Amino acid sequence: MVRRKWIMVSCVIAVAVAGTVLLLSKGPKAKIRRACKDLASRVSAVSEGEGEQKRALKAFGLRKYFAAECELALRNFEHNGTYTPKEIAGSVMRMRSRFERVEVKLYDLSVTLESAQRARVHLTARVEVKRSGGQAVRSEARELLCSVQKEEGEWKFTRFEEVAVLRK
Amino acid sequence: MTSRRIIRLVAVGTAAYILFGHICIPMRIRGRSMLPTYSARGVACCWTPAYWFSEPQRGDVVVIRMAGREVMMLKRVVAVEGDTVAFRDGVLYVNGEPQKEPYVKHRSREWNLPARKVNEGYIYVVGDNRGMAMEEHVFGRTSEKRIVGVPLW
Repeated sequence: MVRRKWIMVSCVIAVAVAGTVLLLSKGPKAKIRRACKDLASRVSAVSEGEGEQKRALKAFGLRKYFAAECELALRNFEHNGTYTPKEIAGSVMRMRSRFERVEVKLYDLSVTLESAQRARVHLTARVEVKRSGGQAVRSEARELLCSVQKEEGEWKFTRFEEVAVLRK
Repeated sequence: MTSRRIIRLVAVGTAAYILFGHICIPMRIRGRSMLPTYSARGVACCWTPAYWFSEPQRGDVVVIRMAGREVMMLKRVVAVEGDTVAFRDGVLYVNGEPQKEPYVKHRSREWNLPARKVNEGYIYVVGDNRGMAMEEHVFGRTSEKRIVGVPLW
């Protein structure tokens, strides 16, 4: 009798957890999170010696994550400005060809919905690169505020702004 | 499995979550900005109750959060609110006085920074490795609210 009671309680908890996970995974916040993680994985080139063709395909696929105009406002970054998705994909491809390994990881991602069409994403991005033909690995973490908007049912990035954690 | 055992397991899990998720957070150190005090790769624990009843003081090593607690920075507090900070030929000046920093073993004379005041609610943090190029070294003013705790060792 006691065992049956515990089985029933476990089943109810499992159904509640599964339902919550299912509900959350279909909401806009989950879609934005997925877009962020997909973007990071497409920019990354973790497998050393990734072929040119695969690299080009991955870079081409980046276009769908950006709005017609996307602004970059990072600290100590010489390429700040407004770019089209095509320009961003081209820049990422050029950047990746200079490095043997590029890894982008996102941490502490939090999404705030401003309206049904707009949202902001606050996160820490860590970029680790290894130069082609060299052993030096460089790793840098930056806190970012990203703006996203919904276009044709997809969440697209419109702005990346760096949050100054430390100001000299 | 008896109900008592389940309750015991849940209690141990909750206690471990509170201890290691919020009070004594394990960290992996990566980066050379705190050399030689902390090696470029290592392990430490962030003790969060450190400033529950006190304020950070000059000389304290603190853990500073970024967007959250998954990536944090380890730095030393060199000035607190109201202080003026400057670097001249690699020497740290606080309120116009040169500071003796026994923990700094590598020092570049290229570090020069005009004086700046630390605003209310802020601290000024720098890493111990002053042998790095100043442009490469991440340091500066940050809000006290960003302090998560201190490293336990």
